[in-house]
This record gives sequence, structure tokens and C-alpha cells, in this order.
Amino acid sequence: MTDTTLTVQNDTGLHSRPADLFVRTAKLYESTITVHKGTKSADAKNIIKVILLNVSQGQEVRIEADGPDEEEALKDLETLITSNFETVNPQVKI
Amino acid sequence: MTSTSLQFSDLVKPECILDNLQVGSREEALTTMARHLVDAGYCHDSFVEAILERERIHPSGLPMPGHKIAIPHTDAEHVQSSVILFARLQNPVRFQSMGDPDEAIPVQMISMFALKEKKLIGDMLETLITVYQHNEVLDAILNADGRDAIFHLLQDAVRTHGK
Repeated sequence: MTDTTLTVQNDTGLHSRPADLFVRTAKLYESTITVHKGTKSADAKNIIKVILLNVSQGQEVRIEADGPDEEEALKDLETLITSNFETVNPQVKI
Repeated sequence: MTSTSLQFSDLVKPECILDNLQVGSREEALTTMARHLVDAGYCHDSFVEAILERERIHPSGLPMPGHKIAIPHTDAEHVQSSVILFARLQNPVRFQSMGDPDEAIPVQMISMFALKEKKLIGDMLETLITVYQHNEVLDAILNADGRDAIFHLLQDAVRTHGK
């Protein structure tokens, strides 16, 4: 298991286009990926749970990955968030 | 009232509920709904194309456990005044799923978000999905007798189940 803590900086938070990109990126990996905000958590591959986590601009999330590709998954999601959802894994076809 | 104090129920208006909309495709549904918002003065002309373009790139179907829904929205710059437009379709149309564009789902109830304040989207979506997770709410809305009945069901459901 590995994890990372990040602050979501873009103005719509983890909603809308960013939520779509986040879930589609998480689904590229076999590992179980969980997003935590305070005491709430959501399966990163479940769009409804991710929206209900309601992460807004400036809030901190901890992303936890567990599985054979956990390091790559976290690195990819970290890049997505820190680039304000501009640097997208090319396997996510948009 | 400032925009930051807007509540979900403030954005639900009887004139922004389209009952038994007859459309044959997702594009037709979105175009009809977006035009309604432009004609009613809530959105700029550019909203129509922006909604269609966003849907093509980032689809908005949500695979709820019961009745499926769609939550189309686009950037705040196309909006003049915040509102949510609800449409109950006479027959479902297919939407691709948000988070998984390879999955297509039949949608009969569309909630189109026109939000001028970007930060509103999180709370509005949380309220809508929390309410719609009670499948009996969507059941009642899909079977309601007309626009006013849908309006009152939405307001009651938000009061009962919303955050």
C-alpha cells in the first residue's frame, strides 16, 4: 500500500471534467485506489462516489493505492492533479 | 442574495422543468434544453454549442443503481444567471457514462446545470445525487402528473433527503 496527500487547486474541484478524467485515469490501473477527504472516502473508480466526496478548490485529499501497479497509479493521479488536470495519461482518450 | 448563498432549491423553478420532452437522441435533448435556457435569458447563445461539445468530450450520464440520469453542464462563461433545467423525456435516450465513455446508459431524466458561480457545482451535484439515490424519488418524478407535480416532488425531496 502506498499513499500521497495533495491539494486540489483547480476552480471546479474534483467535479465535472476533472472528475471524469480522474476516474478514467484510476480505471487504467488494477490496484484498488481510494480517495480520502477528512473522514470521508471514495472508490476512485466509482464516478458517483467521487462526485459525492465533493472535493472543492483548495481542499486536501489523500489518495491510497494498493496492488501490483500502485506506484504507477499514484504517480499518474498525482501528475493529473498537480497539473490542474492538464497533463492527462494518453491512454485516456479525450 | 449573493451567489455563494444560493441553495439547490433556489435553482429549481417551475418554468425550468420540461415535461414529456419528445426527442430522438442525446444531441436533440441537449440542444432543446440548452436553447430553452438561452431563450429564457439564463444563458448566452454560446451555451448551446458549449454543452454539445462538452458532452462529446466528457459525457455526463451517471450509472445510478436504479434509474439512470444525466447531468450535463459546461463552463460558467456561457451562463448569465444560475439555474438547473430539468427534463423528463417521453422516451429514454442513450448517454455515455461519465468516467467510462465505453458504457452507454438509457436516460429519461436530465438535469442541466447552468451555473455562473463555478464553486456551486460541488454542492449542487452532491445534493442532486444524494436525493436521486433514493430510487423512490426518481420513480415518483418519472410518474408525476405534469410539471408542477415534478416541481413539488423535487422541492420536497431536497427538503427531506438533501444535505
